[in-house]
Amino acid sequence: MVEMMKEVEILLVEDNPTDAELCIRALKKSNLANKLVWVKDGAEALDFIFAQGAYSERQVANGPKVILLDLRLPKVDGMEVLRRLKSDERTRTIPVVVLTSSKEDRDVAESYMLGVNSFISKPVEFDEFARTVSELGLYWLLVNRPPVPAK
Amino acid sequence: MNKLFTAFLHQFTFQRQLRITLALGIFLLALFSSVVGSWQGTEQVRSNLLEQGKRITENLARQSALALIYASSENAAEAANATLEFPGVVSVEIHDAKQQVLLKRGNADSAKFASPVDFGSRTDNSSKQAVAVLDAESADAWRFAAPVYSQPASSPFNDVAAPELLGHVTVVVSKAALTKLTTGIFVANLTTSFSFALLFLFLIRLLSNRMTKPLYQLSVNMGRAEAGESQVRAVLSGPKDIYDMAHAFNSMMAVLEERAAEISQLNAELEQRVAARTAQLEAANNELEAFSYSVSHDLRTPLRAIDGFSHILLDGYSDKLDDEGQRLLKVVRDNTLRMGQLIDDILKFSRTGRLEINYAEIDMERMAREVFAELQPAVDSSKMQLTIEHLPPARVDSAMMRQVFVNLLSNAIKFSRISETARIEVGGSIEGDEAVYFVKDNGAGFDMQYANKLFGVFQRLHGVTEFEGTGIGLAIVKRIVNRHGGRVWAEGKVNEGATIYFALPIEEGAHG
Repeated sequence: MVEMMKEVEILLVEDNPTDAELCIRALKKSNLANKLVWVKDGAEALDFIFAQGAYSERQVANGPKVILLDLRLPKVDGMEVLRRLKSDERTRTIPVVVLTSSKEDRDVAESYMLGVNSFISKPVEFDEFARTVSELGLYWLLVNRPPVPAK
Repeated sequence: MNKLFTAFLHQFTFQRQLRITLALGIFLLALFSSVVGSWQGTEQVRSNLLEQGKRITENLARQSALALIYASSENAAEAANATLEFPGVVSVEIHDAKQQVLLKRGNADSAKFASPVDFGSRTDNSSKQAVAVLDAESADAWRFAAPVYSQPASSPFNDVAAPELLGHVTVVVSKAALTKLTTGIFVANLTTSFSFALLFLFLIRLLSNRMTKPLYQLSVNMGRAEAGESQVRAVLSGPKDIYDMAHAFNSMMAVLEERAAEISQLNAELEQRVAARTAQLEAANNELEAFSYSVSHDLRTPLRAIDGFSHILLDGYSDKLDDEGQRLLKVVRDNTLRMGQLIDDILKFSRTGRLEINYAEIDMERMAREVFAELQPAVDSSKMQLTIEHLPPARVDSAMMRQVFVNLLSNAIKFSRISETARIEVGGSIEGDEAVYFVKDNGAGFDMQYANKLFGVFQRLHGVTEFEGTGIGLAIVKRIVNRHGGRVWAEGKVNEGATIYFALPIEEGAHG
């Protein structure tokens, strides 16, 4: 566990365990779920990202390579998590992909206003869902080139 | 003429009209009465003066008898001088029977008479008495004449002898006194009349002020009330009719103010109610939005789980499921997908009702062609004939109208799939104050007795296995057209095709 915390590639923020399981399964199929951490609400996500509370042993600088963020979350909702992330200099460069059931234009617009890097509506059909998730995992972890973290 | 006079009168206030009329009348009356009065007075004075002149002349005639008998002018001198003493007497002449002047006193030249003294007429005097007559009259004098007879002796010793004509006397009296008196009377009359006239006018002025002042005040008050001033009341004063008028004005104003207060109160109530309703509507709208958000988010999540885990089951446990088991799981997955589609469609339908309409001039023909081109990849074009006639342009929301064409054309394509050669026709024309469009196909058609069900939400006239779809397409078309102030209807026959019409109002400002 401590070992895994050293390098985290994907932070999955998802309150629904079945959705989380489906997502992790889809990523596993593409071998992308090895360095994945799953948190179940917005407050825990913020603790993890800002290395506080239960995650105080972490370093903020060792941020995940990509954050998959649901919007409807207990305690602190996804929009708020996004706002806090993007308004902090230390975490602003972490790519955030909103992965949600919502198709509302309002949510899409607001997310982009807050600086989201990608917005994806979860398809209902599993095949499509699995394909989408593994594609975005491949893209952000392998294709995309992130900025070199300042040390 | 009458009109001109009326227009002239309109320039003046009632008070001025009254004053002018009265002043004119009174001055004419004063003038007339003084003229008549002085004429009457002059006549009176004239007859007095004539009487006086005659008496003077008769006296002189009586006193001249002796002088004429003795042909002695000295005898008559005293009487002639006494006669000249009377006021106005200008000259005195005494003639004998042979008409020779015995005595002449005074200056008779100033009185120019047209005729000389006519002695002949006087001699006929049958009474043989010294009766004076007005012999002649000129512009400024009268001439009196009287015969002189011998005095009958009253002595009882003599027989009564007949009086004998001895001669004539003439007396000229100036009219100066008459003229002076006449002028005096006229001036006095005129002065009195005008004084009374002035006094009367002054009284009338007072009276008319008393009458017209309240009227003027009333009209000023009315002007103020008309200008929107509130609490305007007339002062109750003046004659009874004006007092009544002011009172009526005050009652009318009170009623008007009461009405205005009622109306403004009603308005305030109405506004309050509108505000309350608006708040309610807004709350309902927000609730609806939150609801559809929940639907879109929360209903899809379990569906994904059902589909996902069915998939995993099929994938990882296929060796443990027989064919029937696998078929059943496939039914589960198909229905999950269908449920997902229904959720998407009902959200789309509810969004159509909420979105704001952005009106723009749209080339409907071009839009129909573009939409068809987009749909074509899904169609075997060799089996399809499309005819798009010239369509009248419309003022509509571009995105919504595109959705209308997408739904109608995809329906037409879908239902004409069964025909050997699908024929789809799009047309339109201006009819009255509407632009009517239609999309016609030669496909499955429908029974006209179900025509009213066609546009209902999730209403389908065909089995799911026959034609795919949730039954929301025409409901969305109807909602969009209705929101543009238009209407939709359909005609069809089983296995011969269907025509869907929609009409949009074309007059400016018809769109809500």
